[in-house]
Amino acid sequence: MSDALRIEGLSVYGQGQYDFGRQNADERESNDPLSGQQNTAASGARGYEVISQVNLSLRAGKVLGLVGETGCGKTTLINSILGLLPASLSVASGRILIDPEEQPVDLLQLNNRQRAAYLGLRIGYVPQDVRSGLNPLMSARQTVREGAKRKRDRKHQRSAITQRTDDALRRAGLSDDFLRSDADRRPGRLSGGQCQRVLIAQAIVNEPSVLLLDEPTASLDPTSRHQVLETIRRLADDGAAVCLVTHDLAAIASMVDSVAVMYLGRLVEIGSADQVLRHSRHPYTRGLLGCVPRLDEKRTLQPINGEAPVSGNGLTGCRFYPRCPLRQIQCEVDEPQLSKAQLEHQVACHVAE
Amino acid sequence: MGHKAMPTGSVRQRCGRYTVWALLLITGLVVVVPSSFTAQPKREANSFAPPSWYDRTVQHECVLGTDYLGRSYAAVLGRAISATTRVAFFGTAAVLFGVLAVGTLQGSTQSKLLGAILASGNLGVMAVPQVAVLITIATSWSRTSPAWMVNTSMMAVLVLFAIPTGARLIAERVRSVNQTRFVAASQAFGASWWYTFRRDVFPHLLEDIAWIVASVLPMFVAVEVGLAYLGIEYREFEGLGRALAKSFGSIFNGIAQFQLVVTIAVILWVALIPQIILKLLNVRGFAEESV
Amino acid sequence: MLPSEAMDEQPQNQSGGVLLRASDLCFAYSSGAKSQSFELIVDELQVHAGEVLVLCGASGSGKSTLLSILAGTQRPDSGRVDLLTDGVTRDLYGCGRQQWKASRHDFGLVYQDVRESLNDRRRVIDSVLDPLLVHDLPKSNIGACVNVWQRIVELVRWGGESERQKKQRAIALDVLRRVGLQAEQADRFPKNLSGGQRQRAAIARALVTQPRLVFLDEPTSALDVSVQASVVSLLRELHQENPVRGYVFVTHDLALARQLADRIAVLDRGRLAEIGPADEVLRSPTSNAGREMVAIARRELDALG
Repeated sequence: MSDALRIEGLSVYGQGQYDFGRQNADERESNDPLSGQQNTAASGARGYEVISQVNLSLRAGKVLGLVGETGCGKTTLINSILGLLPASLSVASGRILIDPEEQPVDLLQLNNRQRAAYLGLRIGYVPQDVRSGLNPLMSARQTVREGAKRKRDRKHQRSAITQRTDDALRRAGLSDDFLRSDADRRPGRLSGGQCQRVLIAQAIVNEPSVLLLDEPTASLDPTSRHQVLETIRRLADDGAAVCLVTHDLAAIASMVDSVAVMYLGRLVEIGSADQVLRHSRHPYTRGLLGCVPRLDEKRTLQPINGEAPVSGNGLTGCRFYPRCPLRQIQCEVDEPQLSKAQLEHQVACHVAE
Repeated sequence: MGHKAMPTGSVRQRCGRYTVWALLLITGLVVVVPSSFTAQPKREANSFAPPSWYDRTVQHECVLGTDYLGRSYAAVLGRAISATTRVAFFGTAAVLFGVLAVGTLQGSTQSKLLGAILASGNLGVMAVPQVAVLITIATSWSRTSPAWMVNTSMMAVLVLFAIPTGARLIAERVRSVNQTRFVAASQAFGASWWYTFRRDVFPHLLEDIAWIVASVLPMFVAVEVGLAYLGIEYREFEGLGRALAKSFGSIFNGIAQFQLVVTIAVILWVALIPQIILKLLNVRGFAEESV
Repeated sequence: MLPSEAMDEQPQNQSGGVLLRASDLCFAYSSGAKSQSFELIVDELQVHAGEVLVLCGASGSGKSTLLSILAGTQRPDSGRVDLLTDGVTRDLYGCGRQQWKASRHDFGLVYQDVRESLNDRRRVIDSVLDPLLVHDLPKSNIGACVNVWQRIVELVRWGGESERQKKQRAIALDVLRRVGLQAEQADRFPKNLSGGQRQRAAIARALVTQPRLVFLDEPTSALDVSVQASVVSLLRELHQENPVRGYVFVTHDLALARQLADRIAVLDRGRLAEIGPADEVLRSPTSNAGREMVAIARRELDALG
């Protein structure tokens, strides 16, 4: 399978002064050794670092799970692909290549108008918040239709658009029943799971080759979450390259092909689902897995030490060093790079074996 | 017990409180201090004499010259500011009280009747020019009727006109704060309505209140000035409007142009005081006392 | 030292005794989302002292509504909820407003939304102090008129802290420290705390009156998995610390329920599908809803090995 989207050496910096309210307050804590040392450095000349040197590729027909805690930069990564970065953030370096093997186009070099030719057509996006992601005044069908109209097709007029709209709703896992009775309702009268599917339908109506989903299951209960994830899996099997951003490892574990774990703007572990979830090597990934409650044993959850700082500024070595249970002296000075020890399974850690 | 009193927090908290009290005190002084402090100025020279520093030959010591009756213009202005702000403060207080009462009632009860009245009031306010109503009322009083009655009726109109807009603002805010989880939580541990309102809802209204004050106070000043300028005034009341009208009326008499400029500057200053205070205090930060 | 002077004087419930009993509950509402009327019917539900009861169900199953009814904040259409304390039975919805208010310090509530659970215009410590102020805890042994006099003194000495205020503040700080927040953090505004810290503060506010029952409505669903783990660990510690306090916990995550629950109640479209010891419900669920939830949770977690 070929790459549909490739991110090379992407770095994103924030301009000016970050709102360090929480961070400065943390500095003052004398009794918490974890947060004291890491936030001392002021933001550098280029501002503060949000994403640093990320390499990632999305394969056609595969689902990549991008996992990390709040504030690790996963949404920023998605937004830089879409060109939706807020004014305070800017891409410092790197390339985002769409269709890298045949006709590579660097999305970062495009202006807004050129990029619009890709968004919604080649790249589908499902935003984070289900409720605010939908226009409350448009019915489900209208919402998807708006997306369908983006693709100009001179031969096929109205009927074709209607056709594509219903088709997209069906592919997003909505039943014929729904199409008959509920599709003309506004989002206020749909359930959370249905809203999520409408968003997905809007994203896939033009059959994009890349599909980016930002926390698609965050507000759903397990049953609808399971159904939504099955839908996403099916879309990938149909050939789309899917990137699924989430903080919940357990939710996506059963349906992803590969997993990338992010911490403070860096990728710390990439590999196939089996490698990362069952044979994880980075202490952070293990920490995340230790936080997932299991069904069979009532064992104590092992929370990761401390809380993730707001930004990795001022840290010289490994970003995870202050919270790491396995830390060594080397980790404080020397930043580990993603190793290529085993094929496909890369870990950025000095200690991991 | 390892809890030392938090110096930063307490000091800041107290500073905030003292600022509020200081503002209230100043307001009270302006409103309450009787006119003895700015007693009726006496005639000192010819009408519209130039300021003492401008023309050394004059025999008086009036820094801003004299007004149409030959009184010290500085003293007249001081009196006028006091009179106008008094009216404006009373009016603003009445508007604020009405807005808070109606807005909170509507926001808490979501009564359809009150909502309808507010909405139609809002429409009425937009449809009928306020000044037209004021002029009609002022002219319909007979010349012999006591000034305070005219005064009160016009104040009442102004207040009534200002309430619907502000009340809808407050009602909307109260409604949205009432839906938050922290209000639910405080009701769940048995706090009374008044307690919840005071502790949880009111802090969220500060910005709206500041906004209402900042827009209503200049309105009262402007209306007073405008009406007096149009000749709708009472002889006992010497506000900024009278000063403006007189100096404008005799613009080619003596040095009245200078006094006109000074008067306009003073009017602008008085009207914009709340905005300036808001800007200085940076109300949002003030309300949150942010770190 | 836990500030439980007020509670220590009263005889404590025996562990296992019924603390809260709901019978013949019926509550109908039209959920705006689908314009369908919805009926919650629960014949009998008991919360025992010292147990953790988890209400599980899909969204729209009525679990949050049931929690509000049990917690005494949502009046049911019919039925009663009795609080049994010290041999006194008190119907939460049948007693007067005064009685209801007086019983509130026995209830602690924690809500889901991290951003809204604390007033963003007030310092954390002030929010935590509120229940103490409302219930005038710890109970002072001086008479009511002296109390009024004390109030006046407090008012006049405004700016400083009276002995009583210091005492209440100490209690609040103690509880905050217990949930892992230091005095310095207690003096911040919620926006300067992380999501996990805010939820800890909300838990502290629920615990500050030393309630007999704590109700938690999906307290971790808006948090990161890693933060959720630390909050869950905290809840378990708190549970072990005070073995007679009852907890009612609403979640849709069975695996999370497993970590805390003594008993699990599965709700399905407004009905109590099944209720029983956690192990049994998870091992061999008898209802359709229960079976489906267990199957999904199992499939997801199996992938993690």
